[in-house]
Formats: sequence, structure tokens, C-alpha cells
Amino acid sequence: MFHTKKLSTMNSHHESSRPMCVQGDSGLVLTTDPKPRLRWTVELHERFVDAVAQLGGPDKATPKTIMRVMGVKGLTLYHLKSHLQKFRLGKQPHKEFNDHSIKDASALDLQRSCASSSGMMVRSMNDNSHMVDAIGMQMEVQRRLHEQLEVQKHLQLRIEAQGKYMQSILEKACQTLAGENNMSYTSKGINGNHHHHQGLVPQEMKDFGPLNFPAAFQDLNIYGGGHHLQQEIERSSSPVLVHHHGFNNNDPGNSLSLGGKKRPSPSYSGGGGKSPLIWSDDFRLQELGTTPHHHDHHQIQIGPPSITTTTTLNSMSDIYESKPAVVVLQGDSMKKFEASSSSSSKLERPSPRRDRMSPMIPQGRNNNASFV
Amino acid sequence: MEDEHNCHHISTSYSQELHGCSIQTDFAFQTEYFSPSHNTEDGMFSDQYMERLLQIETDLMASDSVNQDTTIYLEALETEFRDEMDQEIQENVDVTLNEYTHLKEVEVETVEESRVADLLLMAAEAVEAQNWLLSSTIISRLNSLLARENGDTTFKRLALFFTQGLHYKSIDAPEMVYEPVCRQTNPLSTFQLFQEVSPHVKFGHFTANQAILEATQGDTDVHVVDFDIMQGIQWPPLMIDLAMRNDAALRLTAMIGDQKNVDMVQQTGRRLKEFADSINLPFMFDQMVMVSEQDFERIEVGGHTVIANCMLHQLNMPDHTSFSLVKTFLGGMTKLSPKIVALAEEELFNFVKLPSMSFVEFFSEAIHHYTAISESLLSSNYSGHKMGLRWIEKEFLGMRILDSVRKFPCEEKERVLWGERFGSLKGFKPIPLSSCNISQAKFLVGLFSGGYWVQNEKCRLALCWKSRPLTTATIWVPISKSR
Repeated sequence: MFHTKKLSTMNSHHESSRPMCVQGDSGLVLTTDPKPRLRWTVELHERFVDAVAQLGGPDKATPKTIMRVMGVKGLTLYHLKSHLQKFRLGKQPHKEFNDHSIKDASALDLQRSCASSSGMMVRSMNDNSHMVDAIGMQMEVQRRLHEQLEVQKHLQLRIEAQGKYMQSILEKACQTLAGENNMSYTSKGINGNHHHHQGLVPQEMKDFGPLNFPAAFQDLNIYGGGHHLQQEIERSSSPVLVHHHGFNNNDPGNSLSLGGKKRPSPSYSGGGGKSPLIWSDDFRLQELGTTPHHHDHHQIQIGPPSITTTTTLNSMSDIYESKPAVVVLQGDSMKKFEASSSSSSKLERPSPRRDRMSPMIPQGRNNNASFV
Repeated sequence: MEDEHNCHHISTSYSQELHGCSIQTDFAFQTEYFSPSHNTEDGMFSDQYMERLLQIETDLMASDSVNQDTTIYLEALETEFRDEMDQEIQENVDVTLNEYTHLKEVEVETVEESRVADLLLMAAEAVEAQNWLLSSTIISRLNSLLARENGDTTFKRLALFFTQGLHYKSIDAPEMVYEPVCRQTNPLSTFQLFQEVSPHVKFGHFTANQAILEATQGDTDVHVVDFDIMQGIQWPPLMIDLAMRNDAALRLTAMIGDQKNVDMVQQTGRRLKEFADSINLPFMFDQMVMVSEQDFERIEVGGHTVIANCMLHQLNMPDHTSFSLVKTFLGGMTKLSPKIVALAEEELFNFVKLPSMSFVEFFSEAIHHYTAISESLLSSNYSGHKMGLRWIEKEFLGMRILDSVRKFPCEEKERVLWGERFGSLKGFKPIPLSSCNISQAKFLVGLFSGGYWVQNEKCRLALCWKSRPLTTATIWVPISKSR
């Protein structure tokens, strides 16, 4: 993107008839054509990038602060403004710009690097055409690679988005489930059939693990998870649900939520090679609460949710408490989790859905903007 | 003693039998080889013994009827020579025995499977010819064959569903005949799982979304009309991309084919709205029950870009009612002159080929298709979750097999009606997919292990598994409309 070629330089004090770059006292390389342009050498650019990184990214950095941090004499705000703008744009999928900038830089370099005599000029023009071809090819390759990278990045984002959405569906389903269980517990009493089934199946379903989770929630939709149920849930003090809330409040970007989609996301940013759909063993634990419900549907015609689910949900909370011991992909999210499980007041607060979603998504957006 | 048998497949009762009786088998070479000859030199002995074993092995491989007597025979040989045998030879014998057993199993299985496949096709032909007597005979034969549980392969499990489907078709059973167990689980839940485990559904969604993004480059208002929104999982990724554009707004109209889905679609709309709010995307959701093409005129299109989204690969019940709905949808959408129509179909229900297929052709295609899907599931990342995958297979694929077999028309007049439903894309022509889209599809399938790959030809992007295309995505634009 910002290819700059190192050229031979001369002290600015020297008069030179050759159209070459000169290096000033400050270490800046300036061209000597009628309008002196600053040449962004590799070193200078690296310093620029460092300074920007120090200041927290191209969006946060301003030309003024960059100038101060870089501390390079002779560097004006004008230089920095335009370079920063290019840098910012360069972070976006704007390949035409890249092509132009490369073309510009390389063409200029070619012209600058030849001798002034006409004979040499002619010869250098011939060299130019070969080199322009070669550079054309190189640009094409780069463009393709760039495109592939963009596609990959976008794909990751899209899969994540889908995962987040599915997760929100699952949460609501879980709430509905627990709410119904609370209701059915009080009104219906224990149904022998359901016990029976829970006894039969758990082993299989444990193995089935995370895949099972989405199954249950669909059934719940049909059960009519209305909003009144949700309020009921928020009033109730079921520890598990509250844990759900807790998770999502405190782990915006990440790995500790139900449904499984979020967990692999840190591995995305690690590198595109890994499958984002790798399930870890831990997820099996989360799913126990919903399995009897699912299985009820599987085997019996009539299907009011099983009260055994409530007991399983309680045991789920035990599992959640032991969660921190289990694999966590990011160090910070671990801390967040511990914070959430310890502060009960936070957990009790019923959070509206919007709050839960917004920490997650805009964060994603910020990531997009900076394209880290 | 027999207890020292290394071959675990022989039970103790056999061993006792061996001890007591003399071995009598039907093999022709028995008299020639069986007389025990105790040679003096071990070397010579072992060669001869090995030779015999190899001979036996080759003979057995060649024979069509493999039975347990052969095993007994080999066991007997082993017993006979046990005392004289070298350790090495004994190991060789065991290895050969194991291999033989394994080969025998494979052979039995293959023979059985081909028998089953042949019977299935014969039954399908009988059903097509409406020869109910013949078909019921074959079906009962199939049932007994499949009930034997001699090795549980994917093909055999699916064959059960095919058999059942043929049976229902032959007795022309109404839908209520389905066993309560099978019908119990909500098809949506299995579908949800299915779309997690394999790339089929995501493939269609992401390809369509990318095409929509490309088609609406520079447009501020995007209006998508969705044929079958289900849980709406296709849309959050598109919303994210639109939100990045800074001034784009999305309006989503969900068409409902079945009155009983109204609540579910409403809920989906609510959730999508919440998601859109969380990413600050201006979003509008509306829904409409689709009865006839005239209904589409009621959709307001204020001059903004309209996109038709038709994800047919997620159809639950691929039957004539669904296809007529598709026809209504596409016909209605033509009136709204959409910029593009994004279509994803299951290869088995390929609009181009389907009208001209006979029932038997469809049946054999279906066998290959569903077997491929089933095997692809089993070789996916989740192959450890065997029970779960079996469940998907049974509930999701099994149901679809039953329905598709049952509802594919055989009779003449039905076929006429059937053929009429597939002219829906008359006013449109396909356009090639962009290189970005193809790359995305390749990356996507690369995320799922197993033999998935992407084939792009003639404007059709196909998700394939081991030489079999499973799902295709195509983009259509209206013909002779200059936009």
C-alpha cells in the first residue's frame, strides 16, 4: 500500500540539477521538483505508524498530536493531514486508491532514479516499460490478495453477526422455558412421564451437547413465549436466568455466552484458518437444562414442559459456578465473568434486551472501522 | 485350549462345538486340503499352511455365499495346528482370520446394500406403474431385509424412510398416518441444528446477501421481499454490512405462505428490529399473507430498489403446495420489477430438471441426494456427536424423504399441473456471480471439514459434496428491462 522506495539522497544544501530527492537536516527526504513534496520513506512511515498506534489508532490520532509524538523537524501539519487521510482510507477496502498510490509512487521512483542525460533518459524509458509491466502484474496479484483478505474478513463478521442474532433468540427461548417451568411447577406438579424420559436420555444428549440447544428454543416459540412470560421471569429469582443476563452484560464481545456462537470469535481474529464453528466441550454443560425439554418433544405427543427441567436448571447453576475453572479464551473475559458471578446485585437487575445487544454489536462496528 | 483363541468373534459355544464335532463344510476343496499332514520341518509346514490359508481366503472371497461355517472351519484349522504352530504363523492366521472376517462383513454389507438398492428401485418402478401387488410384495421384502439390522449403515437407515415413503404412496395415505413419534419434533428445531452442522443453509444465505450488497451499491433504501423468512437468520449479516454504509436503510417484507405461521413471523420481525436497533440501522419490517399474485400489488414500492429473496433450500415440505407458492411469489414479484432475484435451491428440486423427471428418476436421484447429505453430516466437524447427527438424520432428512417421495406426482394429470409450476422464472435471466461471492463461498465451505467444495459454472454456484451437488445459488435479473 504505502510502498516507498529508498532513493539516493543528497544534502539539501547542495545544489543539484539532477531530479533527485534531497535529504534535509531533519532527516526528511524532499523532492527537488518545483513544488517540494515530502517523500514518505519507509522509516518515516514506520515512525508515523508507531505514533498513530501510540495515540490509539488512525481514528483517534490527529495531525497535531502525531506531529508532537513523532517529533520530526520540518514535518508540517499539511504533510501529516494528507498522509493520515491516506492512511485511514488505506485501511478501508479501497483498492483503486491503493493501485493509484502504488502506481504513483513507483512511476515517480522510476523517473527519479535515472540520470539526467537524454541518452540515459531514453534507455530508462525502455526500462520503465518493462518494469511497468512487471509492476502491473504485481499490482494485480496484490489486488487479488487484498480482495481475498477482505472477503475473508467480511465473512467472519457476517458469521459472527448471525451467531449473535441466534444467541439472542436462544436467550429468549431459555427465558421462556424457565418461565414456563416456574409456572408449570406451581400449577401442574410432577409428571411421571417426564422424569422417565429424563432418566433415559441424558447421556446421549450430553454427548449431543451444544447442538441440542437450538432445538429446544424452537419448540418454545410454538409454545408461545409471550412477553408476559418474560416479565414473570424477570420477577422470578431463578439463578440460572440471572446468570444469563449477567453473562451478556459483562461479556460483550465474547466467549462465555450460551448458544456457542460467541466463543469461537476470538479465534477468528487470530487468523482465518480456524473453523469458527469449533465447539468446545464446555458447551455440553450448558445445554443440560434444555435437553429434557427437547426430548419431551421428541418422544411424547403432548408436551407441556417438564418440571424436571427446573431441577436441571438448578444444577446448571452449579455448573455455571464452576465455569471459571473451565477453558476461557480471553483473559479479560475471565475477569469479567468473575466479576459478574460475585456481584449479585448486578445479576438481579433485569436488563432490557437492547442493552444486552448494544455492547456487543457496536464493538463489532468499531472493529470494522479500524480494521485491526 | 479354546480359551486361548485370539479371535474374539467366536463365542465359547462355538468352541465347544468345535471340540466335539468334526468339521463338515460344503467347500469343494475341503477333502483335498483338510487331511492334516504333520510335516517334519517347520519351514515346509508353515509354507504349506500359509498356502492353504491363502487358498482358502481367495476361494472365500470368490464365493457368493459366505456363512459362518467358514469361520468355524478356519477356527478348526487353527485349533488343529495350534500345537505345531509357530507364534508367527499363529499371528498370521489371526490376521488373516480378522481380515477375512472384516472382508466378509464388508462383502455381506455391500451385497445387502445393493440388494436393498435394487429392491428400492424395483419398488419405485412398481409404484410408478401403479402395480400395487408387486409394490407391496417388494416393500414387505424390503422391510424384512432392513429390519435385520445387519450392520447399520447410513444407506440402510435412509432406505427405511424411502421404503416407508413408497408404502405411503402406494396406499395413498393422507398425512395423518404418520407415526406420532416422527411427527413430534418441530421441524424448525431440527432445521436449526442442520444449518449449524453443515454449510448448506449458510451457503445460500451468504451468497444471496453478497449479491444483494453488490446490486444495491450506492442505493440508500433497500427493500427485500422474502419468500420464507423462518427465523430470519439470513438478515443480520446483511444488516451489519448495510450499517457500515452510513446512510443505508433496510425494509424487509416477509411473505407468509401458511396462515399458521403469522405469529412466528411477527416474532421474527420483532427480533430483527431489535437487532437492527442495536446496530443503529434504520429498519422496517412488514409481513403479508400471500394468497395470490394480486396481493403483491399491495406492497408499496416507492421507487426504491426491490430485491426478491427466495431461499428454497430451506423448504420444509417440498411438495406441490410449496411449489405453487413459489410460483405465486415469483409471479407476484415480477410485477414489482425487482432489481435481482436471489434464489437458492436444493439440487434435488432443481427447477430446470424437475418437471421432466419421471418418478423413478426422481426416486433414484433422491436416494443419492439424501445419502450424500447424510454422509456429509456424519463426516462433518461434529462427527463425534453421533446421536445428535442421527437425530437430525431421522427427523430432518427422514421427514423430507417421506414427504418428497410421497408427494411426487406419478399420475398423468397431476404431472401436468406439476409441470405448470416451474415456469416461474420466465421473465428473468441468470447473471454470473462476482468473484467476491465465489471466494466467499469457498472460504465458507472451507470452514466445514469434509469433502465440501464449490462449483461455479454457467451462472450457477453449487455447493457440492464429493461429486454430488447439493445446493445451488443463482441470481436472476429481469430480461429486457433497462434499469
